[in-house]
Amino acid sequence: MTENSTLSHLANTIIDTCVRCGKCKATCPTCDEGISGKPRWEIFSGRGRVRLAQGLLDGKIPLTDTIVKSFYTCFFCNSCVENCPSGTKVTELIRAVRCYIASKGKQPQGITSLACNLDSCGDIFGMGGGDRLMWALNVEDKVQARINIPAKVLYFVGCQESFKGSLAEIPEDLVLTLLHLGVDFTLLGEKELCCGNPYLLAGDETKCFEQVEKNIATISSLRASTVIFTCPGCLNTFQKYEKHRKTKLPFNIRFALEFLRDLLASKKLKFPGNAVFGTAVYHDPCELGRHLGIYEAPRAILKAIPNLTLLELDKTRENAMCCGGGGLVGACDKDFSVTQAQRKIIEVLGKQPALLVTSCPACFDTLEGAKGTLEQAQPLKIKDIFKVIAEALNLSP
Amino acid sequence: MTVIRLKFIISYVLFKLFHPVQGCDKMGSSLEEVIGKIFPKEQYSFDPAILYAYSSDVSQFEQLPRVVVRPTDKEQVVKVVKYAAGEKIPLVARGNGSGAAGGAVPVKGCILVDFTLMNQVLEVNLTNHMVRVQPGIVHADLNNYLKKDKVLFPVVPGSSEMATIGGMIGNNASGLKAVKYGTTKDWVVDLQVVFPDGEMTWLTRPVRKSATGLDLVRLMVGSEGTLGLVVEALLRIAPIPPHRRIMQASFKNLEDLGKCVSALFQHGLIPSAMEVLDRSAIDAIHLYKEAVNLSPDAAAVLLLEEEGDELGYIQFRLQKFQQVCQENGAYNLHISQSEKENTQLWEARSLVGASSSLVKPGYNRIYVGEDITVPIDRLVEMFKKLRDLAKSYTLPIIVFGHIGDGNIHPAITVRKREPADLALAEKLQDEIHHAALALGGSVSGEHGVGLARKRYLPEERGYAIEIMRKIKQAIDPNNILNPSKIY
Repeated sequence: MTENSTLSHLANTIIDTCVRCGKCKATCPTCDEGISGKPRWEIFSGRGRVRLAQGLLDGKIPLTDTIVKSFYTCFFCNSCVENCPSGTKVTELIRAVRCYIASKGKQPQGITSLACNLDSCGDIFGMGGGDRLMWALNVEDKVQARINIPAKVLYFVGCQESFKGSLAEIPEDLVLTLLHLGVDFTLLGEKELCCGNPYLLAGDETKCFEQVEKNIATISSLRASTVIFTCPGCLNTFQKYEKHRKTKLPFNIRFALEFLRDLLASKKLKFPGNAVFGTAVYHDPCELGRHLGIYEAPRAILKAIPNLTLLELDKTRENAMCCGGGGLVGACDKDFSVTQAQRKIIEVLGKQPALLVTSCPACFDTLEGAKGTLEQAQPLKIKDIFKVIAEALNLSP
Repeated sequence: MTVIRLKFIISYVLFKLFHPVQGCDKMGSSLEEVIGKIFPKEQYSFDPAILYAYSSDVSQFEQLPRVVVRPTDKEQVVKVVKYAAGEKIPLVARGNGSGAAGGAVPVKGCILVDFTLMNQVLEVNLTNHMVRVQPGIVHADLNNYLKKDKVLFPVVPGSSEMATIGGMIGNNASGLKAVKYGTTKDWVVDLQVVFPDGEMTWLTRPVRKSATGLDLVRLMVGSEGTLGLVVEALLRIAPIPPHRRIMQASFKNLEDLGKCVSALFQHGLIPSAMEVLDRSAIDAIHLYKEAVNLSPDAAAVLLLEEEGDELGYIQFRLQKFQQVCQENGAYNLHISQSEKENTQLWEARSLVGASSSLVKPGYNRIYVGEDITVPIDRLVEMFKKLRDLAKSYTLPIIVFGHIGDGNIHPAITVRKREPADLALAEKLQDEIHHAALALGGSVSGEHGVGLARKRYLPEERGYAIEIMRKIKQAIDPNNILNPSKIY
């Protein structure tokens, strides 16, 4: 293990900062088993993972399937980092260990498949650029004219929304909203590539940033001054590139909700009030909240929608419980992801809302999938926030 | 004949030396087989990665167990203890591994009993004001559960979100509220214990007082799993006071603050919490949570909490504190204005131990010499000693603690991969401990002895340590429960 320079370097900067106080155990979603809430083994906590990294680094334990499972069941929700009193960057360490595991050829098959798809086709589904506009089937006529044209705003759609049919309404709803508001925007269409986030989660920062650079080059050619995202993971990747490479991107990057919040503030966005939503709970996606610090924009928009009463969960904002959709865990251990999502839904049901709103395609997909496994959750509606906005504007069918 | 016998003895001794307890019971079953019969497969592990994750706590000690077991009921505990007793295999109990003295660090060849699956509240009796719990419940979870009835288990360790009740009992833990509520031993009514011979019994009756014989409950509290394994605990609970306020007083140095504390006690002014933070501790808190409202320039800060039913009476009491503080060098006095401010302040204070690592980049906290207690009237001398030590050693020492109990936590930070720093820290902890003992103090106020402070006990307890050893010998003649700890 000591030959791995990345991990050795991290030993001093990350592992040594951990005092093993266990504070991360109190908030780590993988510490407790789904609905039962029974504590799992120590290796499924932030502290346990730091300890295993140390054991690997010091050559005290061999790389086994147990260790692989420990590191590939982290949702990267960042609650360990947010709450660590000694400043231990646990998720950064986990990324480095995943990279080490990959270098030993031991990464889970699900991750290997994603990486192969990315390498060969530029997206995690292995579909290729030709199918990038699958999501736009219902709005094809409105979208075609917007592809690769010079515009002030560029909407970066992301792989999940592009290729996963169940998520197609997210870009569809945002495009309808942008058109309704008269925003001058463009799309990359077939030229859009995966942002590189899956590489990052698998520990390969180099490949991830190569991917970002390819996208930067394409975006720059359209001279957009602002790039907006509906996937917090994509935005986070661009932001990480900017931070880690200490470089200024040639355009501003923003979550689409922040962009819409500004239009709300300038009264360009107004909700007529025909639609009725009832009580709604907003789920803070980890990548949008703890990673990017965006908590207020979605709330400002939801509060501005007539006939929608926003309820707050007890654990909210930086303390919000993860839905289990992050960290590529679903690709390695579906049950692990689903049980966490069930836990999240049970928490939401405690507030008895009519609607659960989220603002991340991975969260929406995970929660919607887990809802089907819980009988008591059937009356609950789950919607992405861009769907709620489009409905509030009477744009969505 | 004698030669043959001698050869036999030598070969037997050699065999035993090179084949230490392999876990075969009298029926010839291996440890793996027996454990597999007692526990379902998801409740035990021989996996090297899992064993490694359980090989440490917060202290600097580490040792691999042979197996980790996670009982879900007391019958499983009885069975594993009986098996271990028969085979003379050591057993070490563990909660969440947040101990700072190595008390729950495995001993060589042991069965590590992780109690975190036994984490239920079994009964709340609001008339008797008692709660019956399993030992693996986390302190904060217990108090969250009790909140709906407006009661709490009032002994609050800084590690409330991590520490289990079993661990608190094992170490006689306390924390922020000890100045008012005392320590764990003051709130344990009765314990159900599995003794080293496998016998399980409650130690007394579920009543508020009893004068029938030796107080075995108090004997068990603080025994760090060396006398028996607690499988249920009956605890007293207290009403949650509806109001509280925290007064913050700044000082030019720690010695002045120590004098002020003595003066408060002399005036009979004892609050519900009384905490000290030196400059570096305040910096650590601000580096962790910037928004915490603490003095930006004081050399030291005294935090005094007063709680009760009437806000007016709390304010009346705080005025009295204020007067004595001002007469004793305090300045910049501030009283908290909201429950949000109170919570933020105590949360940050409770984690300052770990956030001490943030003070000097590259220097991280290690838990050595961190839990001394001195008489209140010797606090000033202890602060002077700590100041002198900080000057003569090059390692940053962050000072904070429960000053109302004379309990100080000097946090030593080191470059963990510098052997010279570690050697220096070792010497420094010796000096801190000896200084506390010379002032009539103790080497541990609430973290326990474990392995970290064992060597200071003869100096602190004298002949009393012999009595402890005799008690240990009487209860655990085969020395299977957490051997090598404390005594």
